[in-house]
Amino acid sequence: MNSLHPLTALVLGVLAVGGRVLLDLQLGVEAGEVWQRGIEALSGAVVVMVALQFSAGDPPRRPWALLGVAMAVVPLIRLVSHLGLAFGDIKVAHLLLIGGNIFMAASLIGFGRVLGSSELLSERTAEDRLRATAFVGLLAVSALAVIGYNTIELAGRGPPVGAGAWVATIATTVSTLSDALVFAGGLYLLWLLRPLIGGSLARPYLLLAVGAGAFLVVDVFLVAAGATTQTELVGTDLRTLLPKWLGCLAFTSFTLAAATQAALLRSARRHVEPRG
Amino acid sequence: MSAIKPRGDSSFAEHVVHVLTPLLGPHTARRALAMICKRAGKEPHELGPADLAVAHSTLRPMLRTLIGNDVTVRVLADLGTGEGTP
Repeated sequence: MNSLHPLTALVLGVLAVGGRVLLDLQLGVEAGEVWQRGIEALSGAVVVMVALQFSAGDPPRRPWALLGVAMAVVPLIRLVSHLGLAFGDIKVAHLLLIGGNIFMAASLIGFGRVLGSSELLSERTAEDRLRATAFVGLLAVSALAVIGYNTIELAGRGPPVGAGAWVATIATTVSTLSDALVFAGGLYLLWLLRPLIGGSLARPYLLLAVGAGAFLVVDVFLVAAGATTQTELVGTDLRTLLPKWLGCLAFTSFTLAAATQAALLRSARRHVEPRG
Repeated sequence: MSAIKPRGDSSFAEHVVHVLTPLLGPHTARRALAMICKRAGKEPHELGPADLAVAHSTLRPMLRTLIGNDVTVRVLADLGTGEGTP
């Protein structure tokens, strides 16, 4: 069964993130931002393509479709952010960010449900279930720690003034909550996928987990900098450039996850179709 | 890309693991074999092409949940012809 080779994925990942770093350092952040907009657009397209490749009724189709919506919203966020669209002082980009994050969190929950429902991967014994519960509990505590940090940071700035500030605060909170959920969900996927390590089926989900972790770290950087989206950060030093590079890593990981899944599905279809 | 050729009766269990390992990894491939054996009421070395239908009916719902219909059809076809179409 053909899939995107892990080494190929690694090389592509290094090229994508390395390209952003090089452009930022050699030509300026403007060039790096253009590079990342390309990766984000590609990410949306590839994830949507994967969702469309599944047949109607295939259980994995729904979480991939939800992730496709979340990824497809990102270029829209960048566009309306660039255009400065707003309802009064409420930025449209922040409203879209809230929606996109909810879709992303829903997709990770969906992936966990799909994988957990297979008899091949579900925890069979009471001991296995106890270990899984302890592991998920540990993840929840870690995610709560991140949420707690971000909440304290936000609370320290005092109550938001005006509808726009409230929406920005809600966007940041929803983003952190969903990214924590996505991160915990990604690690839970890793837990579920332990028995599949060595098989091509595990690879897309491993890459999703990497991307989810990177998104959560980006959130911590954004809150520390008082920003809601990556593009609001002015890249001047390592502290402001690092979240942009991690963001690039997150989108690249999601793109490679989708490309890996797409390659697996295409290879099966090439084999099945001639048989009619 | 070509289908994995079915092996003789004596190594049918090995063939099942051989077909499933690239997709599921060695651990889960062996677990899938154990589930087929349980359903067929046989030991791995007793499995043969006659148990293909049992293998298909055991694997089909689990694989379809994990990876969808197309890959499931492909894997079942690689296991052996007969009842590969869900």
